Amino acid sequence: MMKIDLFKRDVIEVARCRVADASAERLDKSLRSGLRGVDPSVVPALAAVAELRHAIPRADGDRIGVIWCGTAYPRRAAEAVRRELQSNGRVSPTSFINANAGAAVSICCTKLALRGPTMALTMSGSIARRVAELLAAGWLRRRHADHVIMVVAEFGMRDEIVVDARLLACSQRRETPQEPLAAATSLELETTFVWE
Amino acid sequence: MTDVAVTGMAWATALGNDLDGVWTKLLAGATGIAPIASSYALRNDRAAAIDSDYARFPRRRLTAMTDGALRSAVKDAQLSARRDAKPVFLVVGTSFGARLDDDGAAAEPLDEWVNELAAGVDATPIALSTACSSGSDAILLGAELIRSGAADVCICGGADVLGDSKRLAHSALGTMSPAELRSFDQGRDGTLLGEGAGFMVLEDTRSLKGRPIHALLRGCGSANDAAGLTAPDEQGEGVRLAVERSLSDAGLTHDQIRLVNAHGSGTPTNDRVESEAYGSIFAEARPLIFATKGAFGHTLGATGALEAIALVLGLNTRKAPPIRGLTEPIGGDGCAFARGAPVAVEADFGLSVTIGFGGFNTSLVFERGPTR
Repeated sequence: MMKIDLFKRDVIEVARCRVADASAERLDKSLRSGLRGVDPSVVPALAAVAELRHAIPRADGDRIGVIWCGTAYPRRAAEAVRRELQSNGRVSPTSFINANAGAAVSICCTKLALRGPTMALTMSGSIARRVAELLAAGWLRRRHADHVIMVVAEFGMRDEIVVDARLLACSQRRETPQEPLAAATSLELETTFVWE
Repeated sequence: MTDVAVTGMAWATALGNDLDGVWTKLLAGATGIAPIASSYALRNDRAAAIDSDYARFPRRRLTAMTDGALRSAVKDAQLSARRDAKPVFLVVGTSFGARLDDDGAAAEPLDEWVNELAAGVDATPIALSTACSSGSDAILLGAELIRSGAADVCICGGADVLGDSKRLAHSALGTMSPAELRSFDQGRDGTLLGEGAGFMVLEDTRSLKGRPIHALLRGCGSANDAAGLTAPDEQGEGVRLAVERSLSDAGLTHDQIRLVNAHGSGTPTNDRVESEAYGSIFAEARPLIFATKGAFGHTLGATGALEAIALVLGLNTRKAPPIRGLTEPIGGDGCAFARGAPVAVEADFGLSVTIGFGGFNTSLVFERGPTR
């Protein structure tokens, strides 16, 4: 079992997955509706968070938090806002709200009914990950959440979005997943469970 | 648990930069909202701008305004001569900042401007963006870094600049009032935008060595509405969860909270949901509620930090400023709104609550400072 070094060594990684450049058509049908106009950065994040959420089906969504970090952000939505402003002096509400750096977290929470604590760090690197882990550990230890999904989203070499997501929990309170994740070949997930 | 003290505070607002001077203006019911010309057709040309020529060099303006506020906060905390073994973190939140209105900002990583600011104060940068909760989430995160032992000192806050994209978008969204920003009034019809920056210096109380403090940050809570990118949860469940988590964090009961600086955006739905949530959470405890957006405008990524500062000033001066434009309060059982004139309040503990696009709700619990 992998443990994160967080002073007390009581926070563990329950599961993790990686999603690269997923298209909306390949998402679970229940997640696809209402995604028109979303930035491409949302889809792999949603696929990854959904995969981890489904690993703990009995967990209360009110007690699952989400932390986003990485360089990826809704770049295309932001470009659309700038293009609209420069070309016709208008800004579409859809483009604007989808250009929000926290849009992916919001959509993940909405689609999966997650009302735990949330955060979006707009930075990359080891400090960002370390800070995200510290924050997750604090929420878990003080019981603001039973699980925290940590999403690291980066732009890849071809501008694709690569998402590495981890499901974190306090070792004493985590839900044991009832079954391994379904083979997710349609989403090209690389899913690794780390068991005790 | 480690206690977190507020040792420095500063803000840059459309009412000015002086901590006490702006507070005096808030108590007097002043507003920084005024007509601000735009090249575009807007629902309302009024906004709370620090610089009326707001459309020029937004990135430069954002950086200068933020730098000024954070340096003032550092000075207020008397941090300049200190050398800590642990890193000092600069935690900055914004919603869009300048990136939708400035070619330079649009081409750079989202944290570039924060990295520049941090280099100027020899701090480790942390950048975040949770819409209108960005400023309060920066404070939440700074507190977490101190509690975890990763830091003794964090400079935390939020900043945002007015921009044409924001003004046009809120016009198109229908969230912009065609008239006045009237938080929690029955006649409220939308928000008006502003710009600003606010910073708090947070420190582990064990490192103070007798220096005065403004307040203690006793607890923080966050929750997502899970309701969509713009619409709040109609039942106010996200607000309730954030407030309950912050109170649990602080080890306080509902009836110990006597003062709330509410989000009070002035939009019909948000204010209704927020006031109903307070009615449900606090019931007969009825804390005094005030809001500052009628004075500062809705400063988006800065608003959480500005409101946290205003709450601390309210606790320490034992006064709450009147909610500008509030004449006929909306229902919301359990809500006692500050209106008409400054209201005296004997409160040792207070909440600062923000509700952001994307469902980002954050609640901060402060205890008034004993020694400043």
